[in-house]
Amino acid sequence: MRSAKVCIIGDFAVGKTSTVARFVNNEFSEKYLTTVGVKIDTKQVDIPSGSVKLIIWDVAGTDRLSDIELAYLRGSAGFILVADGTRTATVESALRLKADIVAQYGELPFVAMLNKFDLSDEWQIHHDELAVSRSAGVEWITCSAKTGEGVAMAIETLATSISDAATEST
Amino acid sequence: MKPNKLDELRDILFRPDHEKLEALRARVEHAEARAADVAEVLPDSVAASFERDSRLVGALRKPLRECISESVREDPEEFADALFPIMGPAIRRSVAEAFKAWIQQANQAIEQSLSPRGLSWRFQAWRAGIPFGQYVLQRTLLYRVEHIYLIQASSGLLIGHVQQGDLHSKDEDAVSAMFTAIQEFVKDSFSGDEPQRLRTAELGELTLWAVHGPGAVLVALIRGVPPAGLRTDLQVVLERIETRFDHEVRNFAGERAELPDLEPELRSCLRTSLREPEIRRTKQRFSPALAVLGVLAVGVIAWAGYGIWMQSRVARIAEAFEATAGIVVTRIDRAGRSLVIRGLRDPMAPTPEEIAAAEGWFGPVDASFEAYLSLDRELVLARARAVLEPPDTVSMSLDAGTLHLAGAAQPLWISAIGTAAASVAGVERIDVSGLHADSDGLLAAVRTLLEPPAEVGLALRDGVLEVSGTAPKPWLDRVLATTLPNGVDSVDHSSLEFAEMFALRGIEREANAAVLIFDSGSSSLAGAQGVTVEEIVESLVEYGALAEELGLVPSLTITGHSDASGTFDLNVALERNRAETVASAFQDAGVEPAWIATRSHLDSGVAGARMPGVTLQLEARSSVERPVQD
Repeated sequence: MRSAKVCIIGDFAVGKTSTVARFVNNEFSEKYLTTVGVKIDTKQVDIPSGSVKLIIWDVAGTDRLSDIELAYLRGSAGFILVADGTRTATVESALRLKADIVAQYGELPFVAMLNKFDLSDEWQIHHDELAVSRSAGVEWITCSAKTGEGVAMAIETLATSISDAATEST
Repeated sequence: MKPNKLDELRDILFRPDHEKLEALRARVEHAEARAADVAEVLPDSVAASFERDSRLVGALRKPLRECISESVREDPEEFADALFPIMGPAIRRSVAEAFKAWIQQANQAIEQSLSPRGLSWRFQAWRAGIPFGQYVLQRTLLYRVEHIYLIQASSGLLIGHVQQGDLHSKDEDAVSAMFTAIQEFVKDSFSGDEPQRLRTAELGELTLWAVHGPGAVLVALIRGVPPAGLRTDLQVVLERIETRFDHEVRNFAGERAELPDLEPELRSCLRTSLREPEIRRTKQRFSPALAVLGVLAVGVIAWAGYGIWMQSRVARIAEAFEATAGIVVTRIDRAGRSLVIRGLRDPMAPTPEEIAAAEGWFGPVDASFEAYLSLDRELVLARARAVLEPPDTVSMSLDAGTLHLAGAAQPLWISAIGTAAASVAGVERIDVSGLHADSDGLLAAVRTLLEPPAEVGLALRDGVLEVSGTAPKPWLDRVLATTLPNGVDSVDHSSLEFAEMFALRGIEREANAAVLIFDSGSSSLAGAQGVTVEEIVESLVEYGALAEELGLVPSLTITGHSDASGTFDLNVALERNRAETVASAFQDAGVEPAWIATRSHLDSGVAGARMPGVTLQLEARSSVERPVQD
């Protein structure tokens, strides 16, 4: 079974940890996030081409990547961008973060999750913002950490992309 | 066309090609030219081959190894010079590593020396006879490599993992990633720009060691304190993996199935070092010098122990001598194998050899005693026993100078004892009140005292004088009134017949057989009688005297009889008159009236002959028995 390192990044309080919490094996306590700044979870995903074990690095929330966070991303096979649909600024942060990663490590498979879709009353993201994203190569998948909607699909999509990228490189 | 023309034409047409062919042949046939050609393309060929696959590496591996080996053999100095820049730092690093481990263990030893466990270990080390530091090192050398993780340096992806069979841990991929994350965190937070790496982490008994290679990190999780050499071994394993599988390790993208089998290499790092303190101690303690010292020590201890044991033995024997009556010890000690004793000894006391033997001393005894007379009670008694030679039936006791003798002995011995006892030292007085003659002597004494009649038999049984046979009652009275000698507690005369009783029974027989005849129908005695009233009265008087002697009360019943003629009433009256006549005659002749009772034969209903006469019934009863009066 292939294993792949994946980082989950996004601004503060966008729900990165909550998004994956229901779908992963929690190996370490959340206090690692506040002490070391990263927490590792694992998740085995079954996709048509086989099984992939994702080693998910949950990096503490930030709007720009510092050296250490960039270091955490080293060797990643892909990453998960998370933004909060009720805060427009987090989408912008996510795009900046992606740019930082691409600048450091080149293009990598990724998936972008627009979280808190359950709070549709407070939803702030409009077509304009999405268009900006799309032009930057980011297609957001709406999801909800609370209901679980969209999360599994997003993670499977990423696993498939990683698997395909690996197959291509060999 | 002429041949020369043809040759010219051919020359014109093919010369350039011919020249090229010639040049090519020259290049092919001349090695130098060929070498120059290959040299021109070789670098590019090598590069292209290396890019394409790993066959070139495989092909070059063996010749290169041979080349290097031969070169080293031929000119080691050149290689040493070439390697110097690498080896210098490598050696320095290895030495530094060893020192670091040693200092770590020394620090631990110092820390442990003040803890309760440290104190316990110090005691154990003292007992085992080895330096404390060495003991602590022995104790702490126990370790076990529980997990080995081979991690790709760039990504933190787990390349391989092995563990000791019975252990469980978190998801090894997650652990591997977390280790990498923490390493990044430490590196970024504390080491600045220096390319430092996390090499050691400790938590309680657990130690984490990481050795770093260019493409991978080998992490060992160790329980206990590992020896410094282990790090070198881990380094060697990592280097071997990276040398053999450099390409695979560097290009690992998460698919472990594509990797070569790394498990044997990783498993070689899973080590368990068991401490064997007992074996070490045994090995360390064996040395010829120690053995000689040990034998000497055992000898000294045995000699000292023997001395102490002998001393206590002599002391015990001395106590036994002091506790023995009739012995006064002035000096006792040991000279070689002999026991030397000096002092005073009563001749009656046990011999020194006997006393020593009773205390378990069977060696020679050199004893020298002055004789003296002890006034100890036991000794005085022993002396008295020796002088008086009492029979076994005599017991002796001493009380404040008085010798008490008790028991049975020959009268001759008893009579001589007073004089003999006077010569016994320690005896001031003698008390023979408890002595009595033995049974033979005692009986002879009793016989002399009582002078029994010839018909009397005397016997002594258990202090009881048995009197049998026939004797006059006054003799028995005298016997009972006599104070009998010691040894005679009581007199049994139940088997003794009185002589007076024989006379009494004789008179009774005569009287009871006598019949006084009356004339028929008359109450007067007939003229001729077989026995006269006077003769009967004489017997009755004697009978009365005998009865009195014996303490008996006589009784005389006179029964009157009649013949068959006449009526019953007349006969009863006649019988009564006849009995009264005889009674009056007896009373008149001096017979005690109280003895006499009369009755009619017919009236009383007793059996008897019908005849004109009177019969007598004489008997004597003890004074308490009263005859029944009709």
